[in-house]
Amino acid sequence: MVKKIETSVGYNGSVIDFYKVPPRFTEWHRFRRVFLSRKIVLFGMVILVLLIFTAAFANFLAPYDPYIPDMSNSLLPPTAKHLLGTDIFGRDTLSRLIYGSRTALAVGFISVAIASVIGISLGIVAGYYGGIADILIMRAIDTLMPFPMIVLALLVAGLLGGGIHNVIVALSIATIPPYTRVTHGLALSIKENDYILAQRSMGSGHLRIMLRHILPNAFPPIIVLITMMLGSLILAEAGLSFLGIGIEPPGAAWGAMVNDGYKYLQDSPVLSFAPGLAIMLVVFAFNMVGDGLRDALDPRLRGLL
Amino acid sequence: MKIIYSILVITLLLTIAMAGCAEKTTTPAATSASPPASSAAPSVTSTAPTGPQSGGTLRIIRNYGVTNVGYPPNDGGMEQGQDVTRRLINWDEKGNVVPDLAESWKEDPVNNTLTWNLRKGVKFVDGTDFNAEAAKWNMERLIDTKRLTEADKVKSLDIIDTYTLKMSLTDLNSQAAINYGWVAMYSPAAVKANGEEWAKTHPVGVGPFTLVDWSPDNFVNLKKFDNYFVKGTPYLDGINFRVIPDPVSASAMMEAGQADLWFDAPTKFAADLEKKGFKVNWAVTGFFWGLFANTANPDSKWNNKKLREALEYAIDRPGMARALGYGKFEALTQVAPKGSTGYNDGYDPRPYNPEKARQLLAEAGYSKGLQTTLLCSAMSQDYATAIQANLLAVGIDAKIDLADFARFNSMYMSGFFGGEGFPELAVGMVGIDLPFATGLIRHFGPTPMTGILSINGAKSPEFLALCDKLYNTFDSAELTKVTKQSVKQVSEDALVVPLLKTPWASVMAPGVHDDSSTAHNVVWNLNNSWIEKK
Amino acid sequence: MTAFIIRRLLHGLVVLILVTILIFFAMRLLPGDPLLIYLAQRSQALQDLPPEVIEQLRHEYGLDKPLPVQYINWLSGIFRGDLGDSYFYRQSVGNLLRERFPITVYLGILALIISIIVGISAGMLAAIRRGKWLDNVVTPLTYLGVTIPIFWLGILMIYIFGLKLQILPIAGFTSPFVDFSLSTRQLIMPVICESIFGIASNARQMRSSMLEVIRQDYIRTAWSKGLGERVVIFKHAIKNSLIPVITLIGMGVSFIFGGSVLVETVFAIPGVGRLFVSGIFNHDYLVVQGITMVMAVVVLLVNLIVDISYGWLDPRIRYG
Repeated sequence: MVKKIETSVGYNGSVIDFYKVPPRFTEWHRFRRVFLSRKIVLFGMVILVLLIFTAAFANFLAPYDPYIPDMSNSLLPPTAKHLLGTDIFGRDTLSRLIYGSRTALAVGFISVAIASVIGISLGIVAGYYGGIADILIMRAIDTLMPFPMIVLALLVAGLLGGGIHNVIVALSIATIPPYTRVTHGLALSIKENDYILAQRSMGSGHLRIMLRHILPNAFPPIIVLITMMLGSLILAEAGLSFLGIGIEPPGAAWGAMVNDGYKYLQDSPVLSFAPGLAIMLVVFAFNMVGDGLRDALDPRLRGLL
Repeated sequence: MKIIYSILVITLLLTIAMAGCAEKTTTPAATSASPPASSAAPSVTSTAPTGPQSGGTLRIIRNYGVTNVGYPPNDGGMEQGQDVTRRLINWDEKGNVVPDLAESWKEDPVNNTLTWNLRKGVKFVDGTDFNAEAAKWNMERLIDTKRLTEADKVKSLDIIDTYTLKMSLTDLNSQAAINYGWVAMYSPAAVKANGEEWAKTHPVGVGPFTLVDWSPDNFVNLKKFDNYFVKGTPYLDGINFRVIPDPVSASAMMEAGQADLWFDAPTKFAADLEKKGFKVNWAVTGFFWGLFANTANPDSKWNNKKLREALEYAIDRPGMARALGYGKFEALTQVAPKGSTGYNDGYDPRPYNPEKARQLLAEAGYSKGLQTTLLCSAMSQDYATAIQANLLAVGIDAKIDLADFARFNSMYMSGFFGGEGFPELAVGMVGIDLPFATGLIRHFGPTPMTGILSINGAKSPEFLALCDKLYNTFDSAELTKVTKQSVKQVSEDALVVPLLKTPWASVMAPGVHDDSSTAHNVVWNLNNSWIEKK
Repeated sequence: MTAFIIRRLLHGLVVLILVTILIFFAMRLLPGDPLLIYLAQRSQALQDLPPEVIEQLRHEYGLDKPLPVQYINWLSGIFRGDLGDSYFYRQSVGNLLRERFPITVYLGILALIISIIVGISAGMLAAIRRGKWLDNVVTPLTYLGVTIPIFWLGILMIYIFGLKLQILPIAGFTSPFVDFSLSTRQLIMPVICESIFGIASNARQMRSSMLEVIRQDYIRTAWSKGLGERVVIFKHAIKNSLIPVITLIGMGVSFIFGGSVLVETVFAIPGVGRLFVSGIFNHDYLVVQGITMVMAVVVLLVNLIVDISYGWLDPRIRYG
């Protein structure tokens, strides 16, 4: 039996176990078969592709300008002209929803990129070098762990002020710990392998070993983590927007739209219901794809599927 | 496959449920025709007024506040001090200063004295007498802790007799009675007996109510003080304040009959409830919103008056009031709302005129438009969005900077304690709800007390001279005239773009009689409020 | 075992001290002067404070001292059981927390218990009846449960149960000792919001680990011995499926606190979640620091308890 080195709880609420010998990408066929075998995962993929398409072509898809107020059309109910009605400023809700997908994706992908690069580097350095670097880095990460993500993000956002850029930074910092912990565990176990020792004796540099030998091994669990994290980042961004820290007007973000529409719950419930549904659908899609990736990459389930 | 199917079904059901709900609400005629049973149409109109009835506990919703109670030197009593004690003066609904714990006062500009004649027979809740000694103690406490406005002008406080207190001042100005009369009176005996720490959370005033218990940001319970000096009042047995920060919840609680009175309801919700048959008091005063441009920084482009004038011409204030105000906002033409002392009839120096704005921009050398930033907070976010669109139409590209309250306040209140100020434009509220000279001086005078120093650069010598005159005019007719002139001068200098006046509204459940908030939003008095017996 | 606990406690103490340093300096870095913010709130009530009063207040609160001194003062205060004074509420943080924490904890424990009981039993039933209608209802719901934004769920419920059907109080909190029935009715929606994530994630995890356990040899042996379904499930399968779920429950405490920040805002509940948000917005340093401290202690202790309970569930686990 492979030895478990790290248990992490995905922010989508499932336990992810990380094992000493992770699967390699050489098993591409098995991966593809498993990944594509579940319809729900495909369903998630379809939603994600649609989302990316929507975000990329928002300016062609949106029927109206999402930013310019048109006070004479304020708070219209859903009609053929405005499928999801208009907000207090007479802006088309559907158009804002479409533009909001850009915000959601930007927040998700950029935060994940920042957090994973920093988190992975810290984890590998800590695990590979050990000693004082290990202690410093891992204690720092431990310090961030007791904070719920939204609380940490709220704190960082307070520090930096509102605005979409700062929200991205806040969420990046708040999500570093899981990446570090996972790669730290992997680096610790891999560096004892004979072939790494052999590489060392052949004169390979530390950097080369970390990049060529440890990093690729960390990819499968990290990819699972990233996919699951994307969903929770979008949720957290929505939560922050709801608390009033987020995108600046007139920008469109789903969480802020829920919050803004909430005031008009009695007049036009669709204003806050529609963006909420959008958040749900996208987070759902990310989780499903993450689940699919985990099944396909997790050795524990090998042979069972 | 089954899972996808199930999810689709659930999503579909949710959507249908929402659509169903949506349909119900988007036909206002239907809802107003058949209001929910609990929000029965008021029966007040049909019953003949029989006069106030005693008894009952009033359940009041507040949106915020109740962060601390206690007596003023500890910065308590910010909110509920209104109901547990009185001040020397008060305001009536027209904004006139009227006696309260002081029966009368005498200003002597020659000798620079202010003499208070106090009301007789007033008792504190702890049974001790309110007299000149107590008034002096309260004032001294505020002077010692530097909590009294213009405290440095007070030379001495002398007790002439049991109910007369004379203040000797270095110089008496027309606002002295307001500044010094705005002192809430608490029992010296109670504080001396129990200590400062205790007093921080235990206000002992003269009534009409007295504190039972409270919890910050949650509730305050008050009960009637039986020996209140206005005999026969208060009518209510008690008051139960609850803090409900969310207006949707608050409004629903009113509709469901879970509350009797909603103080300072946001305009939208008050207007909606009014349509549903609730009685709403729209107070004459409210908040004044303005667009400020930084002129304190000598390098600021806004020191060019033409640019500031262009701002004012660019903004469609009547349009904003219509779109955001539910028929309750007043589009301002000057820094005084209609009906206030300083209001100049028919004065509208810069009505909406985008053409003129563009022309002024060109004259100022910005024919290609300009880029700027607009600071706002969550409270002014909607106004900022509307302003941004207006400005964009004339070629001013303003990027909105939505700040949390902490950052907003530290920038908006800039200059006060070395704050960095707002760099370009800010949309904010000033409490120039006081329909008289004090408000004007407080917010726009040479050293504004609210700290909006970022507009100081635009103040002309004429305006500063008028401020000086305001301080030294004691005749009330003359004071009104000078106030009007000052208001005009603010526009002449283009100090600020007056935007909107948003009303202070209180919503009453059927059977509740309350006009406490019609006078002034910083002064309310629940002494005369009552509830009809069912 | 004792050595393990002691080592973990020491480790926790180190983390705790690091948390205090982090939160202390993070708060001081927030832009804006807390006393200025306090003043801004006051000035609306027509009471002005001259600059020298602000300086005096700054002195009273020790804010004029160098940061390291402030930090040491705060830390030594904690050891004396004194969390300092709130600038905004003008009273001791200890008092505020005594008032607020029980509310959040009450809600949180209810949410935790519900998420454990409902989550585990739903997941178990779904696993036993794999592929049957029950599974087909429960499993999609668990997928939705972890994706729904809880503030949005709150709004949705307020709209349906509070505004349209008018069967539940919309917001607020009443102490159960004052009015138990009102208190309970007020709690229904917030508790659902706080527990939904836990229910769904516990159910998901329980289902998959149960499915895994059922495939194991010893369960097959138990079946083949002719033991009844009940015996097999209750005596053997559940206990062994619980280990990953316990990990989740440990994390659940942290999630529930995070959720309370949003839920208490939506439902106007005067707990620490709302206090925390107001503390951040008002730069009420000591309030935020105090809440963070207490929260970190709770999270660290819960994680320790979780680690210990592994040993109870699976005797094979040794504490090295």
